[in-house]
Amino acid sequence: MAAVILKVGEATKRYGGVVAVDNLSFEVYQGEILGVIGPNGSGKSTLMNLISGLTPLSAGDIWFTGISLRKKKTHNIARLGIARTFQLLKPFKNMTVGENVATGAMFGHIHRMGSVEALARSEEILASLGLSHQAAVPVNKLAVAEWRRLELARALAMDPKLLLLDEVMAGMVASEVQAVVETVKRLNREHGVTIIVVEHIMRAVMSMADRVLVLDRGKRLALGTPAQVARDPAVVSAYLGANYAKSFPKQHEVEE
Amino acid sequence: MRRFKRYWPIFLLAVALFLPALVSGYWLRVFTSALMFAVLAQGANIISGYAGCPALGNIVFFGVGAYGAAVLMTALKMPFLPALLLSGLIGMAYAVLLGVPVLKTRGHYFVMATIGLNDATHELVNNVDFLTQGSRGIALPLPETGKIELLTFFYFVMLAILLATIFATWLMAKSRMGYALKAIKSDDEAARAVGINVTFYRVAAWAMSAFFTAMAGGAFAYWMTFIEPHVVFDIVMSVKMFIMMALGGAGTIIGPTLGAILLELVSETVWGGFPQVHYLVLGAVLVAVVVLLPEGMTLLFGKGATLKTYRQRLKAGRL
Amino acid sequence: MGLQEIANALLLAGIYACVGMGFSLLYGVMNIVNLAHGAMVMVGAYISFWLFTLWGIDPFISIPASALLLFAIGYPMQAYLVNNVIRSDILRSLLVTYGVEMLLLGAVLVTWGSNYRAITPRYFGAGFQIGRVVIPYLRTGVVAVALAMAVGLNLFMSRTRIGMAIKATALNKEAAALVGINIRRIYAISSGLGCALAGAAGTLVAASYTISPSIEGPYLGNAFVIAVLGGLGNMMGAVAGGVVLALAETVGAVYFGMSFQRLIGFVIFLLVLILRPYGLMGRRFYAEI
Repeated sequence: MAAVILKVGEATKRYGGVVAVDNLSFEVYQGEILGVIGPNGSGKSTLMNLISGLTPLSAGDIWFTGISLRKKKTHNIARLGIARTFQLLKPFKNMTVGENVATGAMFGHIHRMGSVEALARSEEILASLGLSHQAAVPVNKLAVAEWRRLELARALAMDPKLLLLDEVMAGMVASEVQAVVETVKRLNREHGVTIIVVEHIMRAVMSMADRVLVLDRGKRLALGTPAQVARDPAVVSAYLGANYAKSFPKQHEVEE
Repeated sequence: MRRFKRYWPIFLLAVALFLPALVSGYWLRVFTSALMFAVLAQGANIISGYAGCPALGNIVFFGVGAYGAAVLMTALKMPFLPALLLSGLIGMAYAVLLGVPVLKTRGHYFVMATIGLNDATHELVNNVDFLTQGSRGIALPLPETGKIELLTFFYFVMLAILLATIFATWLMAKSRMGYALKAIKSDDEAARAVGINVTFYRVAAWAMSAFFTAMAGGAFAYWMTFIEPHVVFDIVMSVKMFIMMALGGAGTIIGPTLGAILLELVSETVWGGFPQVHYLVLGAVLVAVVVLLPEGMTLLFGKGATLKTYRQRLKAGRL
Repeated sequence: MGLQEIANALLLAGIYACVGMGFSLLYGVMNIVNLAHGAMVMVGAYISFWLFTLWGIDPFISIPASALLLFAIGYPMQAYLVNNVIRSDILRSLLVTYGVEMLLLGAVLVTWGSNYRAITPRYFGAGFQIGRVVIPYLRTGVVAVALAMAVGLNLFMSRTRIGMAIKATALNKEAAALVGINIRRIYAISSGLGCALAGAAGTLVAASYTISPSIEGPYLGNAFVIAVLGGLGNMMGAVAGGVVLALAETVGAVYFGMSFQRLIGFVIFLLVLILRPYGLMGRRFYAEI
């Protein structure tokens, strides 16, 4: 039985009168890929912000490898081994691609790195993602579509134990989605990185995830294997729709 | 010509080292003043150009350094060089002390807080009579420079401080701190998410800026032999140094120095020739520079500067 | 604290409210800190002084003139200068308005020099007699005008088309553009309006105190504080901010003496900025969202 790497305990986030995340509890096992799905406004991005520490909890707590994150500052949480990408991309626009990735290595890694070592590590990461040709390109000259891969590279440079991918496939064509799915699976298999994927692209999530968490209006609606979740009547009515549920096994096979 | 393009900083340095032998007393004084402003502009560059926090009230550290040196040299009878160094450290301590609360404010609020800080420190110095002689001012001991001519001595003191500031900026830019500040300036949320302790680096940048700004103040105090609060906490001087930084190129390593020297020379010529219209001319120049030279002079001549990129940059700033 | 001090505070509050309203307008709509605001108050003051000295025009009657002239300065400043730098970092827009401030200061210095000037209309010193206290006509007039301007601005913003367009642009400029509002023009009009308020405030200043070019610094500093106290961008808040600052300065002068006034002022200011940056009358989540 795998160890629990992340435990969310009765987490709540309120913005004035709006409850974005409502008494949410679940566990993530070390080495798994957890998909997070749900309709718009269900609290997925807020959950990402709560885990990465960008937004403080209103109530409840989150434990990472047993350490409470409630009172921790964002940068300390990053250094513990949690890396993330952003839905609304946030590259460092005043640097090159290589420097962006090096910044991730410099500050997010468990070992403190100097700029020289970090730049070397940045080259490695870019090479592994097939992006070496872009290393010296300033971000403001890069197409926005490529920012997504840059953010992924930067997050990977931190050598995280837990990687949060926030709608990393939005706007991608089928072949690109497939490439990301493969990268994610490889990271998980070869480097043992636990990954939480927030996505809208159903076939991608269902084909990569070991388990899927479904959110609706900030509450936990379902948590189980993709097959279980796809058939859960509550999930079907809130999000997936009956047609998808009926066709689920077939779709799943095609993807593999 | 190509050699000039590559080695121009060295040419400039050579000229700077031999300047006292080449110009008259009046112009030497102008250049010494220009060097002092260059230090201030470089100091402003560290907190504003690199860290992205426009501390318009940064002159506060100049005043703190000036008064620090003055009090050390009069009350404690300290000699100049240790007092100079200590004045830098006092400025740095002030920045660290106030950095954490003040640097938590953002954008315009931060600008106003630094201006208010300068105001309040000015007021504080005025009121702490027993230490600072309040508004009466402090008279420092007359400079003893041995065989070196007075003005030449202070010229080299300012040059030394400037070179130290430029060197420190260069080291910083290549180091972890340089990357951290660039990241923070670009997107402080993303910076946090990659593990950068934003508050720490902002305070560190301010402390570094304060150190050099305060030393310039300490040198100024000894040079002028007499300082008053309203002279060393002058907000007009503060804005001037930001103008110099913007003119030369914020976030570059020597841009601010070039901007300072150019502006000081122009300012001196205009003031000398047309005192009446000094503000009018400076105002017009400032407006023209800010609107037409979005990234200062150095970026006009730097890599990749073409008419097309210039027009793009102008358009990017337009409503 | 006697009636005299209260009267002084009211007078000051009226002027401060007008100064703060104009400054808040520019910040609320365009997110611009107008470093030339104090200079604009100064120019308004000098216009009235000039009209009074040349043609004996009563200061209260010259308010439209100074307001109009400052509108004519504020509109092109926004349209041709600030609008061109507004989308880059804030330092540029700060430096542009600072340049305008230097231009205005230079113009006043060249035209009138740096000596103190005063307006002394015939009814100067005379006033309403209530018991043993004399309430000067001049001061009453200033407070009345300030009140009228606050009410007028409020009505303008809520009842006229342009006023509503300005409010819409302030709340969400993209959405305003999408419904057909020309935001470049609205920005310029807002700037003109805010500067006109500064000009009118200047006339009130000239009617109350002696003036010199050196007033522009303190009025800028006060504009910051008043606008922040009331919530940057909140125009009616600026009225409250003006009252608070006027009271604080008057009380401070009475009990602490002049020298600690500014120190206390700064501490309050800094505390407000750090703990409640949306001002005394602002609301929290407007800042967060």
